[in-house]
Amino acid sequence: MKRLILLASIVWLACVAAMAAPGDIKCSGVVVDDQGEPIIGATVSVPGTSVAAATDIDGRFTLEVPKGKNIHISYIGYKSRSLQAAPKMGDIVLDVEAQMLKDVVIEQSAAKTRLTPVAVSTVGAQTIDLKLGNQDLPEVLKTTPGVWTTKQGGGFGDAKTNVRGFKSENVAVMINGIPVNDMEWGGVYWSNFAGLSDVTSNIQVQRGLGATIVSSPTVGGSINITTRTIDTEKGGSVWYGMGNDGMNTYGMKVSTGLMKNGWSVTVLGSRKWGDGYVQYTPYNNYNYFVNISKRINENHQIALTAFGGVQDHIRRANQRSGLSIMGYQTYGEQYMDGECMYKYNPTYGYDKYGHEKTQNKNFSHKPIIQLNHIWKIDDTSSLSSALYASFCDAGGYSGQATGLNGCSYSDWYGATDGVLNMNFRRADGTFDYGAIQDINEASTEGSMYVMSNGINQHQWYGLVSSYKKEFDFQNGDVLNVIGGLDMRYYRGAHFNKIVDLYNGEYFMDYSSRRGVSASLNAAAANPAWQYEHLGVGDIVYKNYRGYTAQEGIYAQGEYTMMDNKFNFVLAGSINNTAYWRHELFYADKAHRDSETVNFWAGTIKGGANWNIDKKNNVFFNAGYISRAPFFQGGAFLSYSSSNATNKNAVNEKVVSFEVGYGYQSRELAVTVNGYYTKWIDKTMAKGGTMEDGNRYSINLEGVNARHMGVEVNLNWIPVQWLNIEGMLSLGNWEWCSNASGYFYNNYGQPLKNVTTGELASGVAAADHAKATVNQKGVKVADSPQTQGSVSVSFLPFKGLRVGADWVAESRTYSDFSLTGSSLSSNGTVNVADPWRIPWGQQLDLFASYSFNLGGVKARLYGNVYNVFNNYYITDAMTNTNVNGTWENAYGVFYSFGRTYSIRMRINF
Amino acid sequence: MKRNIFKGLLVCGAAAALAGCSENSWNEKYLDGFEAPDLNTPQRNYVDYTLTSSDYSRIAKMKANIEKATAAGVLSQLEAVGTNGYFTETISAKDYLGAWLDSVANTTGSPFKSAVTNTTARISYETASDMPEPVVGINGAMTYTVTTDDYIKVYSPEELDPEKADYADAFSPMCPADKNVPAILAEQFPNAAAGDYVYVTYNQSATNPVWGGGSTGGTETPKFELSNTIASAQLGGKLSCSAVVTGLSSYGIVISDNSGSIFIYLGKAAETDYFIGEQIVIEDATVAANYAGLQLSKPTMEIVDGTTAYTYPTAPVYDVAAWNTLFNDYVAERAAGGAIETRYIQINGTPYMSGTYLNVKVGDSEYVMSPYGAFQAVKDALTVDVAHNIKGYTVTYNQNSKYISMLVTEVDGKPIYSAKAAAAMMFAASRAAANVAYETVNAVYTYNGSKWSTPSDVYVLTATDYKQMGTTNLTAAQAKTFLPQLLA
Repeated sequence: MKRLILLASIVWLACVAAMAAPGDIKCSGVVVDDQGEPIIGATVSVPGTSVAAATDIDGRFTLEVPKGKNIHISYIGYKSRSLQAAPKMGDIVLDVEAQMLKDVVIEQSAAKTRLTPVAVSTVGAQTIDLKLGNQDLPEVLKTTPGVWTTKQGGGFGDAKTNVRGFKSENVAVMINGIPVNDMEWGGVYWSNFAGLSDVTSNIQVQRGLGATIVSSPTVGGSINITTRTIDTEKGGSVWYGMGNDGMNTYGMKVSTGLMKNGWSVTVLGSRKWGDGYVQYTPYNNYNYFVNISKRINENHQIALTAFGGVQDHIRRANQRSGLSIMGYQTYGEQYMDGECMYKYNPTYGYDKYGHEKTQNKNFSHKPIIQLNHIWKIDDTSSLSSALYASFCDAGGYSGQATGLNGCSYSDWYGATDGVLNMNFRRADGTFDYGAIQDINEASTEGSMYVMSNGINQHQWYGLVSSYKKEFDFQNGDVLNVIGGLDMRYYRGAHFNKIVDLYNGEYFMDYSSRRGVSASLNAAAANPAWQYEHLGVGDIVYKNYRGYTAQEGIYAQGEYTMMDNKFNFVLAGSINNTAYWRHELFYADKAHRDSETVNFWAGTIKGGANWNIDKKNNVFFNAGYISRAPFFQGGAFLSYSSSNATNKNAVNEKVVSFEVGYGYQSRELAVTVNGYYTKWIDKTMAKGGTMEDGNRYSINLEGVNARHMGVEVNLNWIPVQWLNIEGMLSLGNWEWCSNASGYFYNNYGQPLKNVTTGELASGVAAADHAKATVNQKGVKVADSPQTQGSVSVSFLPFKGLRVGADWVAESRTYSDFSLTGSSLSSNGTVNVADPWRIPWGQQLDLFASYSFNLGGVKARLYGNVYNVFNNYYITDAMTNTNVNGTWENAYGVFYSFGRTYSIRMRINF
Repeated sequence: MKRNIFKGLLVCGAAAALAGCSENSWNEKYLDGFEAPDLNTPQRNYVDYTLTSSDYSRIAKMKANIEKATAAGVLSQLEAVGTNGYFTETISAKDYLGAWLDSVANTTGSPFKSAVTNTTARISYETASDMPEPVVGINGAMTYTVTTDDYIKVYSPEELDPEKADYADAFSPMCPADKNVPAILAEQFPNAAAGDYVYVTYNQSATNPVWGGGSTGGTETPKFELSNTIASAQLGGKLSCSAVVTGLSSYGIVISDNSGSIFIYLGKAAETDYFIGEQIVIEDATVAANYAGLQLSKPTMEIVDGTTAYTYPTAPVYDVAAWNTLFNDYVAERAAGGAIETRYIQINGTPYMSGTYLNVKVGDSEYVMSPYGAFQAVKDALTVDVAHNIKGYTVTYNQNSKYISMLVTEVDGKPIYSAKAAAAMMFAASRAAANVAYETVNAVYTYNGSKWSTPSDVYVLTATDYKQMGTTNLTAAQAKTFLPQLLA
């Protein structure tokens, strides 16, 4: 037996020697804190060389160390250590650095493995570098259970991300602990944050209730992005990349690291541009990131962070440009001239002078500025505050029509309900913008069609301040208490401005102005006002200001007992959200201001984690969230045209509970969790136009959904050079109630007849027009209810990593659209079964190779996505009045085919 | 071992990448009944469309519809459909839409291009029902404009030589309209039936004319002579000329002198802004080009009172070869930075509808003729699917859409616009027309079986009414807004 062991050891040593450079030591170990918990993202380096690595989610590292050299381990908040390198270093404990201050605002939103009782997945900076390539940032989460990201129309930054079947407006996105969801409708425009990948330290997805307790409670989950700040190592990097369809990117990052004088400055600038995969979707994006930090003294630390991106890109509009399946076969095949038919963009075209034109240009610049202050009051308490501001200047093209002579804004659409719009279509399939110019030139009533810019300019300011106090009972039990306040103020300006008359002399915004009531806007009393001659720069269609003020307090108690064996968490918050708006188009100065509506909301949630032993743990969490209805489609009946508030608006409620089990060893980590979430009173207000041009709206009540499922996550390292990850997510999500609502006009008065505008005798009276939506049992759409992935990462030799991700999805159901016009007076909409989209899968390859280049460390990355070029459907819609099939599906988008990128980064 | 495994994976990856899937692999595997279609197979079995005002006009001019309405004795009501933009119980969509649908179904850019057997076209249109009898009658009303000869007969009924008659080109207190128009209509419409309506246009003066001694002291008509300079116009150079208007369009006019013709771009022009034969003097205008078509762009023009009779030159026939050559010449000139002069030519072609546009196919040429800035009169003269001889001026071309623009002046030997009669600024030797200030008035008359009179339940908007409403035009949508206020 001993001889066998000796022989095995000799063979093993020989293999190690064979793999390693002569004299190098293959050094591995696990970095943990004084509690034995792994430290993620700690830097392990060889001083005097460019050799370095970061610890993974389990605190593990592997490093090729030249013979005779030491290794240096560092992590923010902990004392660094230098150790002599050895093959098996075992657990390396770092002690807390008394002088380094922890930012509670950031940390509180982050979950800790085997401590925080939530289902969590983390993607580190290395993985982002390795796998992101030329994708949008959220696409790096595609192997996270419960997360579904699609490119939608395929434009730059137009990806959407759902978590456990909940759409993006129900998933909180935080950057350094600050929520960045839009304050009016809750969604996130990822194009605003396209450059964040270059400075991200990690992205953590918490599914379900989540750990965060600031006043942006999640419904489906939260995505927490943490950028590098004061912990950035001294040095920098430059990079250049290229990819399919003209993609180019370059950038530079420089950091002083934490200098002796306590200052740390990190600056990044990058640019990304290309032609776009989809026909005529070019993009241009400049990103910047600046962080200036100063450790004032032992107790105070301050950091100023500013980042943002200036971008413009051409989109392929989502629902309106997606053809039916046979539409692609007919028109896409015919017009794409040998290129992939699914790239067809129905709104790409030329004007009469041969200039390329579009109606889907989008631009934005949304810098976020954050000032963080940490005050270490004493060894057991601290106060972290973050003051932040964001200033957005964004917009996108929006075609308008005068409404006279049958001209409608919908004439601009590339397609409607999957049918290609042939009104302005050249024989080569391009959109005939020249025909619009001809119509306008020939018209004696000015332009029939014009292009406007829909502008979204907003400013928001906020303050998050958390006080943390630790009570150590000296018996292995610790109580951490956090309390704080979260305040936010938002002002948004939304209006459309004419940018192009398309060869006409002027434009009459008759279609919008005829719906303006003289009792609200005195200008409308003059019938000639409807026919006012407007020019470039004049306002059309809408002009309003939306305001949100939110104040809240929160508290959390976390009790850890028996040396981390048990961890109990109880958290709660209360907040008030106030909305008001100023109407500047449909109302004059005397009627400009709406009433202010207030919604009190709050959360209560708790959970526990039991570390059974060093390897096994179980957790559960449960909670109740009450969330204020959104500004759009909730607090206001017709948010873009009327000050009328929704008298029936109620808070959305979420009831959720979850249990989970985790196993963790040196080679294998497995988590299994099951969840149940009930979403009650989802905000749903719709609107339409009556025959006299005035607007009506309906608020649907009783919109409830149930999301439940099981998720499995696995990470296995059977040998040092092989890493296998896998995940499986099985969900059962469906609408679990029928909804109904009453119709109101622009003044909030109850309507009897939605067509004529006749008033009812009273609210909820027998003659008050009502509509019912029977959708109980209909599957929740837009996300696969079965998901799986397998990732394999291989280290064939020093410096080279290759791998593949195989992702598969199934049981995705087509989405349906409820519009005001589909909800007829006193009618019932029986929502038929959606179409179950067949399963789709794709294989992505990635590789990286690090090498020395003239004394500096360089790394080459390569990515190929969808290697097998498998085109499968990711988005589709069907109507409510007929069971969905592939034949009647529309708004269809296929996955991208095979794409690639290659990038080189040089570190110095 | 590890390297062999790695190499093996590389080979597998390369093989997989090279293999790949076709664009329809997934569709064929997972979509029951899916078959990649022929390119001409449409993908929907119904198409939605809403008729526009141009469509109603086209429907009223369809040869098949004209024949049907004539046979039914309701031709005037069919014409009213084209004017009013809605069907009626007599001229129903069911009976008259089919011909139009056939004509547009397979044209380039047609909204019904994807139609096949069993495709349903869902067409939205306007229709009027339960219309009052006067409205029905007025919809089918004939039109008549009181002429100079009528005024002569009114003022000098005894004068046998019209050249010597005293008259004015307007009714006046001494010769009021209501006393004289019935007789005029009786003469013009001898076969009128009870219930017929006529829409009458005449001039009305508030003062009585005064005759004797020729004109009332106006200046002499300045002498005007056509120049010989237009043919020498060079791109980038200057042009001075004395010419007459010989072509009208909504974008501008064509003027001609003794040497040639040139297009004047005005941006926008109404049909009545200029008339054929009007005298224009231009000094030092810069000669420009619009996509290789020579033109003057919004030059300063002096309009000289009076008219000059103009004889159009012989228009060379452009057959398919010459037509194609002309297009290629435009392309070449454009590439070289040059321009082609305005030419008066004739073609033989067949009009067709391209979406909402009226184009003319010239033989089997791939380049079509597009009527440039055509007023309704031009569109009325061109019947879809009927071969026509068309004369007019070449203006410019479009390379992408493959057409040559022509300003049409004559169809099948009939001028679109007649030359205006000489203005009444002449001295004695000709008949004495008294100058009176007048306004143009519109009125409706109805025949009761024995005489013409103005109906009591019909009101015709006057210029004062338009001024009061603050508009000069009433579309159907505007009427709903403005008329109730006026009537109130």
